[in-house]
This record gives sequence, structure tokens and C-alpha cells, in this order.
Amino acid sequence: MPNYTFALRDGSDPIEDDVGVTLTDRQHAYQYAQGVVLELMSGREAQTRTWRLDVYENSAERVFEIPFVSLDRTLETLQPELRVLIEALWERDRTFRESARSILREARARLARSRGKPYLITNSGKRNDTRQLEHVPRAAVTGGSFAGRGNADANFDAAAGN
Amino acid sequence: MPIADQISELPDKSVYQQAYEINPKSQDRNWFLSELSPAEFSILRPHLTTFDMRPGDCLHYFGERIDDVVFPHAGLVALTMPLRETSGASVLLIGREGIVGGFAAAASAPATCNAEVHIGGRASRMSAATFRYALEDSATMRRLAARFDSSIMAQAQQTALCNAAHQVEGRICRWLLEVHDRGGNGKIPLTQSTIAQMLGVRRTTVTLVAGRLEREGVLTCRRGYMQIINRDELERRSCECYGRGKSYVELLFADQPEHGNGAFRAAAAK
Repeated sequence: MPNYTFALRDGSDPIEDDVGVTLTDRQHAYQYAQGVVLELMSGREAQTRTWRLDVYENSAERVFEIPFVSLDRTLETLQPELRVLIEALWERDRTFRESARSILREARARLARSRGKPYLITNSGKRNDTRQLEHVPRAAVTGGSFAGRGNADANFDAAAGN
Repeated sequence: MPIADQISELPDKSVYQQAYEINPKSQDRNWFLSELSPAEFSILRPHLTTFDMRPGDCLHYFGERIDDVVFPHAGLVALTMPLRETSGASVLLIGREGIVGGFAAAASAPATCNAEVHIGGRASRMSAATFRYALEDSATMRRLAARFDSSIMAQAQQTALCNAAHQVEGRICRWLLEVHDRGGNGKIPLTQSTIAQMLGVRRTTVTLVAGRLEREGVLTCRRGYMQIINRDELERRSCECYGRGKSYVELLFADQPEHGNGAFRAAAAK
């Protein structure tokens, strides 16, 4: 039975459930993911409208992307065309925030390096080079990207002046 | 005079030590027992035995007659209703501030829920019959027990409302605060599966919420436990149920005569 893992994209660094659940098939995985989205969204639909839950099969293939707005029952009273428009709008809002964030992070990294200052990045909570931490002033910034999941901007140098 | 000093003057000091086996001046003592006057406590003392609650133990089961009333000094007991399809979401949490089985024992009624130990710790137990007899005998003890029952009822009502109305992140923060209040140095020795079970949500939901809280520096997640880093931020993100519960307890025990170390009131006022 395949193992399904999850990633929550809420406009900031993605949050992962990398332990996941073992379920019989993709249909059950979708139902489970739907349940998670509803639990996360319930009571705060407006705040979570831009979020998206990604579902991965065996940590390899992304099988579903579930925008929270698509399951938002408080939007049920809207006409279908308007609903589609709103869903597209929120999806664009989220992707914009994510790109803006990664651009900003890369800009900070370049700026710090140009000043000869070390700029350490931890990648999804794991440090790139622990040995250099001892000699480094507090210029560390945590960032998280999916290394190995097709995200191109996962390469940050983690040393003084490189 | 604090109860601890009075106790040390009693001749049968070894029995006291047998009953607690904990530093009598410490805060790690069941609050119901702490709130008793020396006279009341001396009635119960010979009938109390201490034991270790271990995680996974079940102190009583739904529908069964309750044989023992348990007074935790540490640890955490969760009262759950067994449901056919899913493991029951927790109805109530009881730690050193409460009594397990007091309600049903006093009324000779069967247990309304399972009492599962989630975090182990020292506790004292007494037979249900002795507890019933003690309550019949002493009006002040009856009133004190009734106040503790009220606080449990308030928690139940608050939780019912919370489960229905509040969003999951606020509920999780509230739950972590409630567990933290019942002991520990900020370490919450519960797995994410256990927390998911207690709140009636999927484990992935807990993982994602905990991940969000970790990203904001509120706590850190480790295998088998969580460590609270920023308690103030946790309170800020909790739903209003946490604050309301504390205010109610403060109100309830506001006019309780000064006995023991006043642990209940002091902690509620924090």
C-alpha cells in the first residue's frame, strides 16, 4: 500500500508531514487530504483561503494539489462563474506570495554575500554545514524548500564569503 | 500554619510519608488533598495509598462500577467516551488539580467514560466506599468536592463549545496550555497521534499545525514530545476557552478558606 505525504503551502515556507499515512489507493488519499483541509480550514475560512495542500505518493510523485478555496463551503452561495473566478484569484495570490518570498530570500543572500558576510540557510530545518555555525555571527536565516522535489531555488551557498 | 508543618508534628509521620512519598512542601501534590484542613486530611490519610500511573493505564472503564477514587499528584489523565468507529475524542483532562472517579463514586453510579493515563506520574488512591463515607461525614469536604465537580463541569462545557466553534490551531494551542498547566517544564510528552486522538482530528492536521507553530518559534517538535518555547505566544494563539477556564476556576475558589498551600488558587491566579 502506498504511503502518502503532505505539504501545506500557506504563502510562507511550506510545512511538511513527511511521515504521512499508508492508504490503499489515491482515492482514499484524496478523501483523507480533503478531511485534513476541512479540519484546517474550519472556523477560519477567510484566513486560509489562499492555502493549498499538496499530496505526494511514496515521497516521489505529486498526485494532488488541493486549494483550500475549492473546498470552502462558505462560498457555496456564489454563482458558479464567480466561484471559479475567485478560486483562480486566490490561487494566483498564493503563488505570487511564494515567488515574492523566494525572490526576497535570494536577494538577501546575494546582498549578504556581496558584503562578505556569511549567510547560512537551513533547508527544511536541516543545516547545510554545522561546523561553520560556531564561528558565525547571528546572520542565519531559515528557509525551506523542497530539495529533490523539483524546486529550482534550493541551492544556497552556506559559507563565509562564497 | 501550612498543612505541611502541621503534618510533620503528627505522631504518625511514616504514614504520611507512605501516603505521599513526595516532599510535603512541594507543589507537586494533589490540590484537593492540599485544600483539606488538617482535621479533614487526618480522616483520609490512613486510607490513601500511593501508586504510579503509567501511560496507557486505564483507571476505570465506561459503564463499570468505580472501585477507587484517584488523586493524581502529577501526570495527566484524559476522560474519553469510547466511540465505535473512532477512538473517542477527549472530553476532559485531569491532572494534579482534580479527582478521577469522584463524581461517580460519590453517587455510586457507573463510570461515564474511560479514564486513560496519557502522562504517567505519582497518584494516591482511596476506595470509593471510603470516599463516599468521608463525604457523608463532613459537610466541608462535600462542599469542596462539589466545587471541584463544578470546575470539571465548566471544563466539559467549555470543551464542547470549543470543539464545535473554534478553529483547530486555537484548539491545539489551548490543549497544549492545559497540559502544560498540569505539570512539567514546558515539555509535552505526547505524540502527535495522541493529540490528534484527544482532539478528534487527523494526525496530519496536528503535524501541519505543529509545523506552523514551530516555524513561528512557538514550540519545537521532537519524536514523542513537544517543547514549548514561547508560552506567551501560545496563549495569544489559543482560543478564548483557555482564558475563560482559568477565570472560572479563580472565581470558584475565591472564598475558599486558606488551607494547605493554597495551590489551586495561586496557580489559577497566574
